[in-house]
Amino acid sequence: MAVANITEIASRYNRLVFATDLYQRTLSSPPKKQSFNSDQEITDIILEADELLCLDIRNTIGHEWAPTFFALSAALQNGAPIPAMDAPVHKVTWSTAADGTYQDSEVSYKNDIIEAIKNPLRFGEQVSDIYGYHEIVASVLYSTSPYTKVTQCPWTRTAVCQSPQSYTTGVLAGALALTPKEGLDSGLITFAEKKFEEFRAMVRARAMILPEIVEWEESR
Amino acid sequence: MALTYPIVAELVRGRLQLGAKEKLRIQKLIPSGLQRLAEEVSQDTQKRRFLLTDRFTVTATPDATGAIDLTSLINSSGLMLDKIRYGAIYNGTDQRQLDYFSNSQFAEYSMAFANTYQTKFYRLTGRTLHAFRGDQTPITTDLNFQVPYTPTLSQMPENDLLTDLLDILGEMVTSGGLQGGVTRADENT
Repeated sequence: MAVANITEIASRYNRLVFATDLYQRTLSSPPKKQSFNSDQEITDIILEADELLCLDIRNTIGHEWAPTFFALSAALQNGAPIPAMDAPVHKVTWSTAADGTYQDSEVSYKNDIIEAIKNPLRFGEQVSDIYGYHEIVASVLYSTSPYTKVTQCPWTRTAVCQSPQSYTTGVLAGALALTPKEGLDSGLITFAEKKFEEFRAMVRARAMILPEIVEWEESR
Repeated sequence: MALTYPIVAELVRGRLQLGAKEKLRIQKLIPSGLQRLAEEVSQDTQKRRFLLTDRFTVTATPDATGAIDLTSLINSSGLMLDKIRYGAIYNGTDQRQLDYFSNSQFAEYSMAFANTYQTKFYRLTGRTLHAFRGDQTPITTDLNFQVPYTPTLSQMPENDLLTDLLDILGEMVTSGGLQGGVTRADENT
C-alpha cells in the first residue's frame, strides 16, 4: 500500500484555504499577525499531522499498518533488556533455536515465569511445555522460551508522509486543524479540528480507510 | 492431537473466559488436577476401569519373605497406595486375584487359613505389601498390578476423562486455586 502523497495533500490544502473568502481578503489586505504563509510551513504542518496519525497507528496494537514501522530485536534470552527505543512492543515471538522458526509468545506473569523456569516439570510433562510465555517488566524481558524476539514499533519523522494513502483525508484534515486561525476562515479550521479528532479515533479503532469529506469534495 | 499442558490450560482458560495471562498459572494446577481426577475415578465403579495400571507391565517381585516395597511403583507408575484394594493383584499367569487381608484380620484369622495353599492373599504395612498363601507361605514370584493409579496427562484417556479433568481444573481455579486472583478475558492484559 502506498503512503499519503505530500504534494497532493499540499495542493488540496491550498485549494481549500484559498477558496475561502476570508483568506482571499488576507491576500489583498493581510492581517496584522498572519502566522502562516510559506510553502515550508505548509509542508511542516502536513508532516506534523502525518506524525500524529502515525503515532496513533504505532500505539494501536494490532493496527494493520503498524508492521510498516516494525523493528525486530535480536534473539533474546530470559532476563535480557529489550532494545531501548521510544516505541511500544507490538509482538513477542519465541523459538527453540536462535535462527529457528519463531511463533507468537503469550503474555504471563513474571513470578510464574521465573517459577516455571526453575521447576519446569511442575508446569508440564516436559520442559518444552513451559515454552511460549513472557512478560516485559521495566524494559526487561522475562521469558520461558530459549530464544525470544521482540517486535517494537519505532517511528521517526522524515521529509515525506508515512501514513497510508487511504489516510490522505486524515492528514489533510490534520494539517488544516493545526493551522493557526489568524487570518483564515475559523469555521473551516474548527470543522477540520472536529474531523481530525474523529479520524484519529477511527485510526485508533484500526480503521484502514478514512472517508472523504463531502463538504470538501466540492472544492477539489 | 495429543494432550499437552498448554492445550489443557487453554481449554480451561477458554471455558472460564479468563485473561490470557492466566494460562501458565493454570498449567501449574494440572498435576494436582490429575491427582484429584485419579481419586475421584478410583471411587467411581463406572469409570474406575479407565485408570487401572496395565497388569502386564506393572509388575514387581517379592523378596523371600513375600514383601515388596511399593515406593518405586508409586513413583514410576503413579500407583495409589490407599486405592490398591479397588484394583486387582495377580500372581503371574494365575487368573485368580489375590484377596486383600487387613493386618488385624491377619492377626485374628491367620490360623484359620492354614493349609489353604491355593488361596492367595496380600496385606499392606505402610508402603510394604506382603503376599502370602493361605497356609502363610510367602509368595516370591512376580506380582502383577491392575490397580488405580494417578496418570500423567499423556496417559490419561482423552476421550473418556478429559471433560472430568476440565471440570476439576475449572473448580480449582474458581475456588481460588490461582493465587493473587484472576483476570478475565475481557480485561486488558
